[in-house]
Amino acid sequence: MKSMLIIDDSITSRMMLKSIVSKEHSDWTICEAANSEEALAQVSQQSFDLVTVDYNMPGMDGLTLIPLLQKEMPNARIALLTANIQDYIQQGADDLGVPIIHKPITPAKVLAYVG
Amino acid sequence: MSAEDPFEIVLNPLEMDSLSEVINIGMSHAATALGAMISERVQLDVPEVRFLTRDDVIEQLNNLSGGKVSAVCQRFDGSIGGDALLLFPQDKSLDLVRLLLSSDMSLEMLTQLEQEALTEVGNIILNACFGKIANSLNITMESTLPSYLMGSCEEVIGNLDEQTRVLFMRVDFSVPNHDIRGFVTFVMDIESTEILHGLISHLATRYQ
Repeated sequence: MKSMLIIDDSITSRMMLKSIVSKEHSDWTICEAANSEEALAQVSQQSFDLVTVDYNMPGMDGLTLIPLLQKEMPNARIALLTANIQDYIQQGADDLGVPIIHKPITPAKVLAYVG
Repeated sequence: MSAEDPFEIVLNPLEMDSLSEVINIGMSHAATALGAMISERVQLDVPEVRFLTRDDVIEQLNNLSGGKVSAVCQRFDGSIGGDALLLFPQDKSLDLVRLLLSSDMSLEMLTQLEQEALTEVGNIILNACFGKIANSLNITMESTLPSYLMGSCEEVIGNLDEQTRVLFMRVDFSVPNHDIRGFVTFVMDIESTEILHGLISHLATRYQ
């Protein structure tokens, strides 16, 4: 049984991602955060095995948040989730050593990441 | 736009062809993204790419949408900047949300999620389109958070400066058995329009 944190300001995006993962892994604990501040508050209380981080959120963006999460949870598998396909986003994710899951998400893309 | 218009953007046929091609690539990417979201085949047609004045855009949108639109607006800034708008005729937007979300969801729940879901659809489509365009032009454009607007075409477009030029891309998305159509516009100031003209001109001559 694993734990997962979905960080995304879009309710729709969180709902779709949670639905895909829950169908495959009904015993996993899946938590949600609507922005970076909520996410940091949650990871200060508990650790997660997997984390998805949306890039474009109010306040801190995903690429700024990820190093903070990596410091807090060095063993967590973190992925950046974004609709932005521009090269500089890919470069930013590469620099942090995290994969990108491009929106729109599909079961195939999500399950290739979470397993 | 009249011939005396000092802000008229004049692209030669090769430049217009290059601009249309870049936009076609961007919108094809957007259509693929939409198709993946709704698990349906999306047909795409880009019958019109033009620079228009604010008033011309309002007239065009009124003719195409029947007057009321749902819109998702997102600001893109970088080498060129502007406001991208994805517009749907308002009476069709709930159909799109129904396709996107679970079919067993109640109408009440669908209606509650309509604006939020359309905003996320807009975020994905506009980033797919303009991200691809930015990559094609070898430039970077950062996007802001998307926002949802609803109302008459005048209300959605009408607060623009008269001197603003709008890159009007009429995009027909069609989903078999669903009459869903969308329009994308990119609203730029004169400076950005001139920079875009230069980028397109460079692109057009690169392969000559």
